[in-house]
Amino acid sequence: MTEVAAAAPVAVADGLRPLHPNQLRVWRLGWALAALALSALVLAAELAAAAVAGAPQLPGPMGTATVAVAVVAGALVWWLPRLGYDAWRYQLGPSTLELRRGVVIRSHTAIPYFRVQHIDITRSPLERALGLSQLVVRTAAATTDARLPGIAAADAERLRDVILARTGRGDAV
Amino acid sequence: MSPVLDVSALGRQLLAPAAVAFSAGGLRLLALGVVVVLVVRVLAWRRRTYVLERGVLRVDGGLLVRSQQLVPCERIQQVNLVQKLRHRMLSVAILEVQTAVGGPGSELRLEVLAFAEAERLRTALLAAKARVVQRRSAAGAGGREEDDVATGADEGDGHVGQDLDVASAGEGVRRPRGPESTNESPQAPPWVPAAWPVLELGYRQLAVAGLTGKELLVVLAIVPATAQLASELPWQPWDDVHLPALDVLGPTLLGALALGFVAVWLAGAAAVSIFANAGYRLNLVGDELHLSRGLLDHHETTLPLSRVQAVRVSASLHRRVLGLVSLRLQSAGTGANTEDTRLAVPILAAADLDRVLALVLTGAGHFPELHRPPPAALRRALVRHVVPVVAVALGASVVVRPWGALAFLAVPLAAGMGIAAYRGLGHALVDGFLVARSGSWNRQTVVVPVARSQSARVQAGWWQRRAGLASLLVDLAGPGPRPVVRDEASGVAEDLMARVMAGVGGAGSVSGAAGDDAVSGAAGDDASPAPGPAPPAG
Repeated sequence: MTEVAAAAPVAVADGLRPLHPNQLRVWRLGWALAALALSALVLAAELAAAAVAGAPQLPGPMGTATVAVAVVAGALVWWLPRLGYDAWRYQLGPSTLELRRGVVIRSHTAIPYFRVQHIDITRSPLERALGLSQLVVRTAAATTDARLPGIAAADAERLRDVILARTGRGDAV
Repeated sequence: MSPVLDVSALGRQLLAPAAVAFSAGGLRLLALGVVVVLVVRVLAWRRRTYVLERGVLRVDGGLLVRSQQLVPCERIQQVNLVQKLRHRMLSVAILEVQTAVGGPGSELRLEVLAFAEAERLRTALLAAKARVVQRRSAAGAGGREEDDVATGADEGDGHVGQDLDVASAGEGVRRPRGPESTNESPQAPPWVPAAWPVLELGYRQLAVAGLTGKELLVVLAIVPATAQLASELPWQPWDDVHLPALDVLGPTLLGALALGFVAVWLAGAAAVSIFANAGYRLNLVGDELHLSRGLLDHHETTLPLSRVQAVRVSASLHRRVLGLVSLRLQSAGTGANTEDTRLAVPILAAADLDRVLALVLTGAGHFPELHRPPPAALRRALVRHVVPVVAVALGASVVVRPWGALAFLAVPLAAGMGIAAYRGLGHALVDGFLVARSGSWNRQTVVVPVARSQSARVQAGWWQRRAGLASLLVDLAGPGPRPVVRDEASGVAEDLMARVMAGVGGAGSVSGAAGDDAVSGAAGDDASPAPGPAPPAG
């Protein structure tokens, strides 16, 4: 861990903060790729059913199922990331990093700065393309699940340093 | 290292090459293979050395790829001395040193050492650790507490020589106090503290543990397997015997057989427990727990008190009726591959629980009164237990026409389990300890020093939110299940998390001492839960 001993805490207004708006695009693009793959699978199945003799007869004209799947998946791709994005908030509290997220299962995680072992910054190709980073905060507990997506790449390192500065004098493992 | 090679390990290593060699070229090649493996083993043994210098244990090894493992003594979580039967016959032992958070790299095995040498090394390691800790505390202007002892006057000698005044609540629990610890000089040489017996278990108690514990199930699984094996023997003497009396005595014989089976079963369960834990002795030596147990395979475990992450008390319904519980100590050092019975108390009278708990969890008083979750939690528990059963019963009654409906008889049973599950819920946060209880048949109570928590999470699923409920999950260092406060009112859960987080310390509260060992707290992070300034008491 870097030595950031008495660094003055960088002035960041405390309060609930949303993720970077581009994170919504990252999720939508990711989901869209999955939806596309699914539609392609259904299309392939339809083509196979039409081509192979003795396969069960399609109920409607060719492509009905594909279109239906594509429409439903498209709607989900539009709405689910929006819900997920709206549910996400993070907060740099006085002594803990707090993450609130989840649509179906709401969760509110608190990680004391004091317990932070190290912080990874990861960037998937999609995130790179949209100028985002993901912070993964690790404690000594393997079960701590503290991924903070949707941080502007420029801010990620600063945020990491802010958190590390608050861990105090840490010569942890 | 002791020149004794572990024969069984050698055997395992030999097996594959031997098979290959034998299939490839018969006996001559086999002999060659054996010789090669032996030579490699001996060379590897000669290469593998260990040395303890300046508070660091260094192990060198590796034949082609040289390796060096370094373990700073203050990072040691747990030291185990294991003697399997074959080791005992040769009077050697395996020394296992567990360091950080678990996982494959966290354990250092010295296999095998002469027994006396292993004991000597263990003492040296723990003494070196105590010395390092002592230096730290001396450097820390005396204000630092190395252990979570409330008062820190004689912390200097690196031991918890202090009286453990759990007794403030009126309980007569006292910690051993080494004679030297009365002189409060921080420069006092590390004394060798006397062993303070926490618990000893005799054969009778161990038998009871086996008869009421999971050993029953284990043996139940083994006995039919043996019977199966016997029935597949090529020669079956009882086939040829035909006694005319058998027809008459049939029912009697059957009854006798059944009785015999039950007797073997119970005796087996008791024996399993006795073999594993005979001579069970849990001592408190300074600030370390020493556990020694085992009839054939002998285990000695040493766990510094400051490494205890949580204590899990479990009691099945029948044990509760008998007033018995079992304990398991969770430490950050229990490696992923180790069986989790390393530091467990297989059986304990419930009346003794407070005493043992106070000794193994510094500062823990007696078991507090638990706060019960709201009635909405009862509805959740009922729904959780009953709905799946109803679904299955519906399916069964549709598929299996006339008799499937009988499955609905299970519904009241499920409802009963739901009610029991609700009754099992409860939590308390007292003096820096979070106590969370759950379970219907097998009731588990986990006691966590909040200062040990790494992070926490309040979580609420869709149905929980509709009922205004949430669960609190606390993350601890090392493997093992996480403590959960289930189905509490969401406001209470949030408040509880805030209080747990406030108890973690660090940041503002322990400015200078903070974070010497953020893993599981050799040092600073333990200072915070001192009962006095501990944030809010439940």
